[in-house]
Amino acid sequence: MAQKTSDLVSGLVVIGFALTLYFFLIPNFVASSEHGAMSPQFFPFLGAILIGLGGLALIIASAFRNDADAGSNKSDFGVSKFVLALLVAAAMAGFILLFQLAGYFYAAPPFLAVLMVLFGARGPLIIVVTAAVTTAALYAVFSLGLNLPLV
Amino acid sequence: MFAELSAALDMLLSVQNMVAIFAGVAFGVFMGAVPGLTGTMGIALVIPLTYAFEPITAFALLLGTYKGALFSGCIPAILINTPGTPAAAATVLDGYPLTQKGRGGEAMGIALWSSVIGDVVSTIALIFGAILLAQLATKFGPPEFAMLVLFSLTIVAGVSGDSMIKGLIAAAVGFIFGTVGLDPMMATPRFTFGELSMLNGISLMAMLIGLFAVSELFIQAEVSAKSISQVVVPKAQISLAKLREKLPTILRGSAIGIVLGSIPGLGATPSAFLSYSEAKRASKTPEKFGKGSLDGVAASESANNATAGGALIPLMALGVPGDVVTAVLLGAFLIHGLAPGPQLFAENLDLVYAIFIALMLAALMLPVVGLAAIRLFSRIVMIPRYILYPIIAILCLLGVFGFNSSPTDLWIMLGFGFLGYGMRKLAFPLAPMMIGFVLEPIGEQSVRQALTISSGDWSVFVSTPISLLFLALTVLSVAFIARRTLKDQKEAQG
Repeated sequence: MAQKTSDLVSGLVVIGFALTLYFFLIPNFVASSEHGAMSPQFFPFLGAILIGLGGLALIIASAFRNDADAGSNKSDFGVSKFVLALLVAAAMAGFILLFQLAGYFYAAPPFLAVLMVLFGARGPLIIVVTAAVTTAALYAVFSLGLNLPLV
Repeated sequence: MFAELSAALDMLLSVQNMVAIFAGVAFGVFMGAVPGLTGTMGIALVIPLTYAFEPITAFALLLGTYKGALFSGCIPAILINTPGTPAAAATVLDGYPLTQKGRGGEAMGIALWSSVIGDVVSTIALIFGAILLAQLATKFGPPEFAMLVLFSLTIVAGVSGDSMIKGLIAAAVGFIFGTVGLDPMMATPRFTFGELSMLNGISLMAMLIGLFAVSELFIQAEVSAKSISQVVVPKAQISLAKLREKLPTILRGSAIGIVLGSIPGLGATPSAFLSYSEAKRASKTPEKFGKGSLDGVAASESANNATAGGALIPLMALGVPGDVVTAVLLGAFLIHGLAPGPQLFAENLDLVYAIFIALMLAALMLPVVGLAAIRLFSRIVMIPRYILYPIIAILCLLGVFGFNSSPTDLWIMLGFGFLGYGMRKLAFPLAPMMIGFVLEPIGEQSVRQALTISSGDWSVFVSTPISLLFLALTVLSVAFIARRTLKDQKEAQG
């Protein structure tokens, strides 16, 4: 995506977020009986205003930007790349669900195996051995060594 | 003072703590030496392992990691033309040409010893600087702290990368995340959405690991290489005579690193480049720079390592992080129930001294670990990515869960991972968000306490010399940043 376009879209999203905060989230989810700087709403409102102004500045700056000057600040979104990241995120989400429902020993080996495949592993033996050894080793470190319960 | 020093030595000198420092340095060296992994990520990964430790053991491990990573960024920079950390970018300029000329061993040797000397000098500066600054800070009340936080926010500009606007947006979003939970004065719930687990606010740990480590995993998932690199590593060696010859460059670099490191927002990378350009300016053979000059390597490595001590001065004395890594370290301190600043010096001076001694020991262990790491490097970088990154992923998950045993924190971490990924893809910097998040509660509490004391009179913020000093520093800092930005723009156009 061109830097100019991505900055424009980012600016619009940021402004949308600021408006949601200002008109919906803060009035509904931050109670207040005080006014001015002593109110619990004061700092959230200040943050929302700063975010909105930042978004506006980003849109204005992108309007005057020449894409040839974008330099190292260029955005880097691609659908195929995004799918890979999404799959890693889905695997992590799957681990969290399985960890909550069934426990560490049911969640960790398949999670590690899936991630190894996503990161390029192809040999079934290395995948199985690494997943099993890592699961046991991390259990030993966290649960037995550091006394942090995993199940 | 001697009683506290003795107590500090008692606290620190145990096998457990020595192992922690050594392991920290070794892990930090590993994180810095592998391109793509960073010291910040290393510290974020180590924090969960420290929950069960005594605070001093935890800090020994964390500070060792910090020091190790700062050094080892130079290893891939010199050997494979790829800086392991951004701070080692200036080292590439002369380090890699030296390797191409068959002088990689000399380059590694000068890099190692410059780093050690820079580290030791900056730790001494930290000890004296932090104690003096902390004594001054005991005179701070809420208005002074509020103005200090305002000044600290100028560091956002320094860690914003190419776009200050995006840095400010990220900081403001972090600021909003900082308001989640019970409000500090009236205990009114804010953005908790009826969830009891949100009353304490967003878990710093979940945010930190999500933003810095999980987002990196998503980025790495896109890379198709099988392993990071493969290289034959020369033996690091430098003669004493050559080291003595480079000492002025190393000491100059150390001084630059300390000064720039202690200014919030500058950090290791600009220090290394400034030191490099100063060394070139002072050199009798400036034409050799960029083609394989040992002075170039010595200048950049001494400066980037010396920033550690410099950046820790405002962190330890005022509780203000000087750069991204110290912002993460501040998180680690808070997670262990300790707030750096004058109170820490007043109430836990023995712990402060123990931390300083641990830093010095970490610097002294660097040659041992560094020499071994250089030899091991060819093996480290051959670890297949499909083993390295899945292990990092599960370490992130277990680390965050271990902190509060809260599955909610895991979802928050994943959310911040995605947010961090999106921000990086759209070229938004992550560090300002972290800084906004950490500074919001301190700033809000100070402002509201000051206004309570003054019955709502805003002039309380300019009523004392210290407040005025911080206001002046803020104005000067903004003016400096504006001047630098304009200069950069002119250079880009020219």
